[in-house]
Parts: sequence; C-alpha cells; structure tokens
Amino acid sequence: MPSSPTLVLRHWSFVISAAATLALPTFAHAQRYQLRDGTILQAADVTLGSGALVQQVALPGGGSFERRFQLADVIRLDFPEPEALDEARRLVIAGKGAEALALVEPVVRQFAPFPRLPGSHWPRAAQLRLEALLLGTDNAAISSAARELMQSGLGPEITGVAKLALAQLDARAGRESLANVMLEEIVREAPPAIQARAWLLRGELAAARASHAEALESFLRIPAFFGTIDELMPAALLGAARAYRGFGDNGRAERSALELIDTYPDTLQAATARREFQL
Amino acid sequence: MPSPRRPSGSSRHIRLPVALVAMAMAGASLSAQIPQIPIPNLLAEVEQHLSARNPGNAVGILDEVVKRAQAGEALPPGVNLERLLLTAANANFQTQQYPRAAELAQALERVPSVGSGALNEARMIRGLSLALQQQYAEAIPVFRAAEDSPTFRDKAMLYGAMSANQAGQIPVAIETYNRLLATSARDRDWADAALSLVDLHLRAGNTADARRGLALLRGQLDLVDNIAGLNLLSLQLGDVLMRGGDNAGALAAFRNISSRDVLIAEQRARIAGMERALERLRALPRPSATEADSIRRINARLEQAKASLAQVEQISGFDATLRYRLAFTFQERGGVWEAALLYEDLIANFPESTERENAFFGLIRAYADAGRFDRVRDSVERFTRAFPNSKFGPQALYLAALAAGQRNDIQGQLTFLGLASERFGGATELAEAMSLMRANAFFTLTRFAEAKEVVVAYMRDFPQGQFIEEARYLAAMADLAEGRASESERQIRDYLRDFPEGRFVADARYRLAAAAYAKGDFKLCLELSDKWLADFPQEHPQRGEIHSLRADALAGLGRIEEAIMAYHEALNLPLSDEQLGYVLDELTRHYQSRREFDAAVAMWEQFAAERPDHPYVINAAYWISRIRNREGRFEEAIDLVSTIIRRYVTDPSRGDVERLLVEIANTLGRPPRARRGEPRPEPVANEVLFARVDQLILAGEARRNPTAQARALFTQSEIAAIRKDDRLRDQLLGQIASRFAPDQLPPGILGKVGDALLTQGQPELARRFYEEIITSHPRSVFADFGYVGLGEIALLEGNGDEALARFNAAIDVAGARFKLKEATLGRARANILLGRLDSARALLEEVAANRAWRGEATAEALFLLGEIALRRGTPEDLARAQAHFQRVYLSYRRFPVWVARAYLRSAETFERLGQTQEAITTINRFHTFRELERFPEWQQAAALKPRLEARLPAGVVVPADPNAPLTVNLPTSS
Repeated sequence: MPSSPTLVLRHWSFVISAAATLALPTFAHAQRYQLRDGTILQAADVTLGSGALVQQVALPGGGSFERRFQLADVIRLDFPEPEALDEARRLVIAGKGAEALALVEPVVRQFAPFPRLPGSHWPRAAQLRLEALLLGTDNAAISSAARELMQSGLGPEITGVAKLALAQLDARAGRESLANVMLEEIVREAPPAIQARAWLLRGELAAARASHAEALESFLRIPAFFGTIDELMPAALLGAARAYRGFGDNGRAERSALELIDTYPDTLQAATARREFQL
Repeated sequence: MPSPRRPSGSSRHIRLPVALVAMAMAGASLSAQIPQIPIPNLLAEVEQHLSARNPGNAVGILDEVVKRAQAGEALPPGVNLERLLLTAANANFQTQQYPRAAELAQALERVPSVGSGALNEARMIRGLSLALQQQYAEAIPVFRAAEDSPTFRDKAMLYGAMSANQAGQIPVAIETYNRLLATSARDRDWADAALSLVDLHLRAGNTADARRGLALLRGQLDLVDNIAGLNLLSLQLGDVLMRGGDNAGALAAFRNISSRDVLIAEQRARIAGMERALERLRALPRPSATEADSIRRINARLEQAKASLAQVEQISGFDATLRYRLAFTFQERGGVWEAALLYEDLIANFPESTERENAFFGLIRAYADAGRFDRVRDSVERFTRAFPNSKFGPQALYLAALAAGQRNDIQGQLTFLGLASERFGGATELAEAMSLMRANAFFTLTRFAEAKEVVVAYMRDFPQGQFIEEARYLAAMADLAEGRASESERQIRDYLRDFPEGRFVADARYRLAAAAYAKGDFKLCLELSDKWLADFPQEHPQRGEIHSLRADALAGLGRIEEAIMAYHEALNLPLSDEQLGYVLDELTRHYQSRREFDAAVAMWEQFAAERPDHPYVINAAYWISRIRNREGRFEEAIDLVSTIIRRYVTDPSRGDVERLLVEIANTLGRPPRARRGEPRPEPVANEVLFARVDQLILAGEARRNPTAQARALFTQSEIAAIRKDDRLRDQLLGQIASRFAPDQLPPGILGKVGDALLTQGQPELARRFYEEIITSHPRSVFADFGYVGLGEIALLEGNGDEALARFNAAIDVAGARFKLKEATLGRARANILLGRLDSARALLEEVAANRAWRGEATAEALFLLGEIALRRGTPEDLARAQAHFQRVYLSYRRFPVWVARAYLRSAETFERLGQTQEAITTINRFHTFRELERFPEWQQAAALKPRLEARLPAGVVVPADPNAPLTVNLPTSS
C-alpha cells in the first residue's frame, strides 16, 4: 500500500502584516438585487411586480413615482439564505413533511422568478419542497414538483433529484421495472449524492421482494462508496440491518442496528431500529 | 540593520534632509550652528507620506524625530513619544525593516506611561517582526503577551501558534491553537486554524485529537476552504491509525474522503469562490482596513487550497488506493459485504491498480466470511485467471475453506480444498494444513474411508509434519467409525505410546475403555474408567462422559445400584445434549425396571425445575407422563404435559412438542378401564375428547394462533388414529393441509400431513409440506419425513436417481430417526428402478431380517426379493422367487396388497417352471379369498388361468377347490 501524502499547511509567507489591519473582518448580509448595468437595488426599496421590480421614488415636494426594473435585467441576487430552509431540512429529516412544506413554500414563491440566477435560493427550496412532498401521498404534487425541477435546467444534481422522485413514484405504484430503468440511469449519470439516494431506493425495492442479498449490496453501497454523505447513513444502516436479518445473519443485523442507534441516536430510523430489534 | 533611506519627496523637503546629513557628518559640535527643521514640520511631512501610502518615505524622518524626542526635544501638542514610536515601528514594519521595527516596538513597550492599546499593538509589531526574521522562539512570548488585548487576541494566538510550530515547539503550538479555537469565532480562519491543529496533532502522534479535530471540521464543512487539505489529512490519519491497528478509527477517517473527481470539483468550486470574493474586494474603490485584511486572509487560504489541490492531482491512483484502504478496514472490522463491494469496484474499474492482486485476495476472504460461497468460487476463478502465479492463490482458498468449515459448510470446504489441490497441487506451503483439513472434512461428513485415505497420504507425505499427531489419531478414529475396532484399538495404543503427553490422550484412553465395553468386557471397561477418573483433573470436559461409561459398565455387570449413582455423577458434570439425553434415558430405564417410578419422576421434575428452558424439558414431560399413565394417574399426566405444551404451542420451531401431543392423544384416546366387578364403561365421544384437547392446548392467545390451532387438530387426528378411525384421521389432517400454510406448521405435523396427502394420491400437494420440512427445519428430528416423502414422490415419477438421493439423505443427513425402515426400503426400490439389483437385494434382505420392522415392510421386502429373483430367471432363482412369494401369501395375510401380488407372481413362476397344475392351483387358492377381489391381480390371475388350463394334458382337471385332490379323467377308450 503506498504511503499517504504529507500535507504542509501554513507558511509564514502567507502572513503579511499591518498592525492597523489586525482586526477581524465583520460581515453583514445585505438583501439586494444586482442589475446588468451595475445598479444595486436594496430589496427593501422595491417590490416584486409583474415582470419587474418596482421602486416608489418620493418627490421632494411630496408625491412619488414608480420606477420599474425588468426582471430580465437582474443578474444576481444577494440575499442571506432564509432560515426557514434549514428548519425545513430538519423537519424533513424528522419525517414531518407537512410542517416542512409550510415553511418552504413561501421561499419557493419568493425566488420563483429567479430560479437560475446566482444567489437565488430557489433550487434548494424547490428540492426541499419535493423532499417534503415525498413524505406524503400527494402523487400529483410530487410529480409536478419533480417535473418543474427537471425543466429548470439547473444541472445534473437537480435533475437527478427530480428523476429520483419520479422513480419513487413508480416504485410506489408497483411499477418496479420502470423505476429500475430510471434508477439505472441515475446511478450511471447522476452526481454522487443522488446516486447514493438511488441505491437506497434500489435497496428498498429489493427488500420488498425479499431479495436480501441484493438489498444488502444496495444499502451497503452508502457506507462503502458514499461515506461522506452522512444524512443517508441512518436509512442505509436500518435497511442493511433488516436485510441482514432477512439473509439470516442476525449477528450483523444487530450490529448494524446498534451502529445506527449509537451514531445517529436521534433519528427516526434509530427509533425504528430500537423497536424492531428490541435494543 | 541597514539604515533607512531618506525618502524622496517634494522639492521643499529635499533640501532639509541634505542639511541634516551634512550636520550628522560634521559632528555634534556643529549642531548649535545649523538650525534644525522643527519637529512639527517633519511630522507634517511624515503625515503627508503616510497619507500617500508611502511609508518608505516616512521611516527616515520618523527615525530622526524619534531620536530628537528621546533626546528631550519637545513634541508638538497632541503628539507624544508613545504615538511617535508606534508610527515609526509601524512604518518600518510596512517597509519590511523588521529589525528596526522590532527595536522601535520594544522601545515603546518600555515607555512607562504607555497605554494598553499601544502596548499590545507594539507587541504585535515586534512579534511579527521577529517571526519574519525567523526568530520564532523569541516571537512566542511576545505574541503570548499580546493575547491580553481583546483586539489582537485571536491574531496573537494564531501567530503565536504558527511561531511555536516553526520553532519546533509542537506542544506549545497545539496548546495555543486549542486556546484560539476555543474562543474565536467560527469562521473560515477558524477552520483554517483547526486544519493546522489537526496537522500538528498528526505530526505529534496525537491521533485521538486529530480525529476529534477532523470530526469537528466535518461538521463545519461550509467553512473549510481547503477541502483538499482536509481530505489529505483524513488520508494521513487513516494510514496512521491503520498502521496502529485501529481499523475502526482508520475506517472512520477513510470514509470521510471524497473520490478524486468529486474532491477536485469541490476544491475548484471553493477556489473559484475565493477568487470571486477577492475580485469583489479588490474592485472596491477605497477598501477599508477590514477589507484589506480580508484580501490578505483570503489570499493566504487560496494559496494553501491550491497547493493541496495540486497534491491531490499528483497522487496517482487516488481512488484505487482509497478503495483498497476502505475495503481493508471494513473487512478488518467485520464489514465483509462492504469490503466485497469495494474490492469488486477496484478490480472492475482500476485494471492498472497495484492493489488489484491484493484486492482479489481480500475479495475471496470477504465472500468466504460472508458465507457467500458461490461468489467465492466465481472470484477464485477470476483471480486465478488474472493472476495465475499469485502467491495469494492458495492462501485465499485455504481461508475460504476455513470459513466454510466455520459455517459448517463442510461440502463447501471440500470444494475449496479440491480447487486448491487442482490449481496449485502440493507445491504450496499450505499443502500440509490443507491435507489435514481435507481429512477432517471427510471425517465430519462421515465419509470415513476417504478421511482415512487422505490421512494415510498425509502420513506418507509428511512423516515429520506439524500435524502428524492429529493425523495419527484421526486415522485411528476413522478405522473405529468404519467398524475396524481392533485395528483402531491398535492405532490408539500406538498413539498413546508415541504421544504420551499428546492432545488426545484423554480421549484415547476413553476410547479404549469404550472399546472394552463394546467387546462386553465390562470389568476391563470399569477398570479403565476408574483409572481415567483418577488420572485426569476434576474439571476435564470428558469427565461426565467417563462417568456415564462407567455407569454403563456397572449396569453391564448387574451392579444397577452403583450404575444409578454413576449416572447421577455424570449428570452433575457438563455433558453434551446427546450425552445428557442418553444418561437421563438410561436412568429412567433402570428406575422403571426396578419399578422406582417416583424416583424417575423426581429426577425428571428436578431436571425441569433446574433447567426450565432446556429442550429436554419436553423429554421430562414425556417421561413423567408415561410413568404416571402407567401408574393410572392419567389426569396428573395430562395436567403436566399440557402445561409444557402450552409453553411452546405457538412456536413451530419447537418440533418436539408433537411428541407430547401424541402422548396426550394416547392418554385421552385410550379405551376406558373397567373397574373390577363393573361393566366396561362406554368410550367417551370424540366430540368430548376434541373439546378437551382444545381446552388443554388452546388457552388464551394461542386460540388465535395458527400453529397452535394446527397442533390441536393434529392431536385430534392422533386420537382418531388410536381409535382406528382412519377416515376421521385423514379428514383432520386434510383440514390442517387446507387451513394452514406449510410455514405455519411444525415439522412433525408437516410430515404427518404430507404422508396423509401422499397416501390419498396428492403427491404435488404433499411435496409442498415435505419441502417445507427440509428447507425450514433441516435439523429437526422429523427431517427424515421430508426426505423420505420426496423420495417416494420421485419414485412415483420414475426418477430413480433423485429417489435414491432423497432416501440416502434421509439416513445420512437427517439421521432417519423415524423413517429408517421406509428409507431403507425406498433405497431398495430406487435401486431396482435403476437396475442395480445386487444393491437392492442387500437392502431388502436387511429389511426382511429386521425383527423390529416385522410387518408390511417385511412383506414388501420379501415380495421384491422374489421379483429380483424372478428377473434373473435361472431355475434356482425361480425356485428362490417362488419361496419368497409363498412366504408372503402364507405369512403376511394382514397385508392383502402384497398377498394378491404374491399369488399372481407365484402362479406365473410356476408357469415358468413348467408346473402348470401348481400354477392353476395357486390361482384357485388365490380366488378363494374374496376380500382380494378388489385388487387388479385378481383379474390378471383369472385371465391367466384359461391359458394355463389349455396347457394341461388332456383329461387332467384341476379342481376349483384347492384342497381337493387332483383328478385325472382318463379318456374313455373308443
């Protein structure tokens, strides 16, 4: 086995000095739109109208007039990420789809006119909306949200998320072969995070068929190949524990369940494992 | 230190410096004669240079002002020495005049009236100046002192830590970074510092701290600009931990590393982000001091990130090496499925990787450890194709064989050993170990002759081998198992002579005692047992076995009282379940023969109380029930047995419950006893008994449980069988078949239901029940029901090979506890079907000779022996066949199906012998038994008769009454 490389960190050449500049920088987030001509519009000064940002300009002598800035001229957004998104993420992980949806929908609407602009929070919000919807049973809404993401042209990751949702819908409807076609495409082409989700779904489909070895090989791809994607680990470990049990390897089943409970104690999957494996 | 050069400036200022230089050269005496430029003017000029960001032009002037001020010249209002020194130090620092800057800063630190703000600023300048002159050790205390300043604390700690690192004072550096990280805001600089700290911990061998640091950073990935550095550190940490044997820690580190493409993409995205930020800041028309500092910080992080990225890009086979490390550590931690996935990926996607050969070896081990032996075979094939000369080949197969053995897949073990022998022959250092393993495997599979053959070859090939002792003993045991007792005994004695301190001495001496018992020499057996007990320690695991053997010897000598005591001594020692069952059964037998029923019951009750969860609790209930029944204490027996039944009635895996159900059925279904002087009472109605069964078995939750319900029906069917109501019995078993899925039924019931269905001519339905037994309950005592049933179905289908395999498995695999007779007869039938008449005849003679099997099996065996002889067709064989057929119809009238067949065949045999009259007489005798009319042979015989009669000489008439004398009607003379 070749030895690992040695990393050299920090060199004095990077330290340039000036006593006057030793203070730590502070950052403050603005909320503003940047236009093609360099104009910066503070979000507080404009409202979102039909196809334009609308600014009310007060006249010194009283009265006001409207200035309209075409949305097509906005080239960048500079908004802090809405806290609602992080909260929605937590709710999705906790399996509370409806609550997450209530938080994320307004963000989706707010950034909907700028889905592809740098600085827009629409992509993350729309993904979270889809994930929240997938926790429920409104298949039409799921399908619509997935197709909206696919059409957004936001790159392979977003498209992969949408394809995965459609595969899940197929799986729910019992169209396993269709789901598998989509999953095959995802594991071949999608970015790693989406591939990992596809393997999870494959594991679930195999487990439903009681193909325990196939389920195990699918679930265990997550720790083996996608170890940096921590958020998928609880589902993978629970799936693996169940598949081990189905395969007849109760020792490894219990070990997988224990690893889940020890490492991710506050997850839904850990609670399920405690109940199912009486740990 | 070089003198600061006087900066150039406007023409107004040029003259004055020249004058100053002239003054300096002329000496101090001239000083009173040449007027000096007033300090306020000089300071104004300094101000002008600094405002124009030309500190280089200001340093000379500031030096002059400082000297004059230090000499006592008054400074203008609003300017003090403290401020002057600070500005001078700062200006020198900015123009990289570090020695002078440090000197000025130190001078300021010594000013008694210096305020804390200026003092700490001076410390920072001096610390940095020292560090930039590589005087790191001197800089450390200066930065430490500057930590007093709330303004500079974080910077002072950061630079202090860096200085300590450069000075080789790693513990000081670590301690300083720790303080910094504990108090500073969690921003990108914090993450950068944390990365440095992890690096230091790694270099200092503090792997636990390095792990904690990396875990912390993993939780703050958004702040880490140098993601490539983070991954490289994880790789380093993993390697350190792996080398130290901490595979769990190593795995955790490796799992956090992204694949090369992902990592490069991520790092490039972060670099682009930093460059964008820099661009934005540089575009600002008048950056503030804070913004200028941000530029410098981002620049520093950017350079580091680029350097780390370059390192990742240079590592060849980054992904392959990561895969291998992950797989190895997963495997070492027992994650064999994950390891197999990773090895497979490495083998498939990195054909040039140097780790590929190792990966194959790991893959075979991983599949073997996971018990996926089909994959082992496949990967061995691929491995030997890819690396035909790999030194790991035999090792991989050896480990696979070992793993198969550990999982009791002995057949698989033999396959791997065979592959190793085929691929690598004896030219491997593992050949010796594999040879002995092979012998052991054969022995375990009860293929004793092959075991002996292999072990003899071992002794020939490795006379001084490391396993020679094991080989010698194994050879003796193989002979013993093959029935060559005296040969075995001789080898055991030789073994004891050659290995007096050997591993198997205790067992060898036990075997000699057992051999004496087997030869009926109970006295010698007793002597050897007593000597064994005297020679080996109390805690020896075979001690219980020896007491049991000693008890057998005492019983053989008729010393039953002592035998009972010896059995009890055995019971108090560790015994295998099989031995325990034997001792308990022997004790029960002796107690019963001595009519000490209470003692037997007390023994079993004590056993059940002491070991309530032991499988033999059911044996206890069985025996207590039998004894109580024998004493006429039926209700007591029923209470006890039903209590035990209810404990396990819902569990289909507790197959021995059926034994108790049969016992309950026997108790309930027996004919009522008549009291002396009273008429025999009427039998209790089935309905009443069946209700009692439900009440006894289906209590509480069990009422809704399918397994319990099936067991109640089974008990009722047994009652029907005891009452000889076969129709009701079959109806009840049919109900079980139609109401419950095979997987809800215990193996005993599966077997009975399967047999009933087969008898009723439903082989396909029966097959499901038999297959359930051998797939779900292969170790059940009823497993032979499954194999025999499937063998019978194969016979019906005319598949002799499969039938023979099934019947063999019933005996070899399942032990044929209930169906040895049927299995033996089945083997004979299968051999006949396959045309192996000699083998069939040997088996049939075995059946016919077995007194315990006397009955229909004997009738069938005799009939089939007759059939075999008939097929051979010589006059002797025909005479022999005739004898068999006659024996059947004369001695086994209770089995009309065989009687009918035997009569027909007997007549046919007479016909072939040319004894036509005897043939006709036989048919006539056959036809006197009207109850045989229902069999097809009746009509066949009737059809044969006219043909025979036509052959009679004219005038000979065979009377219809077979007992009437034969008459010859002589023809009347014409």
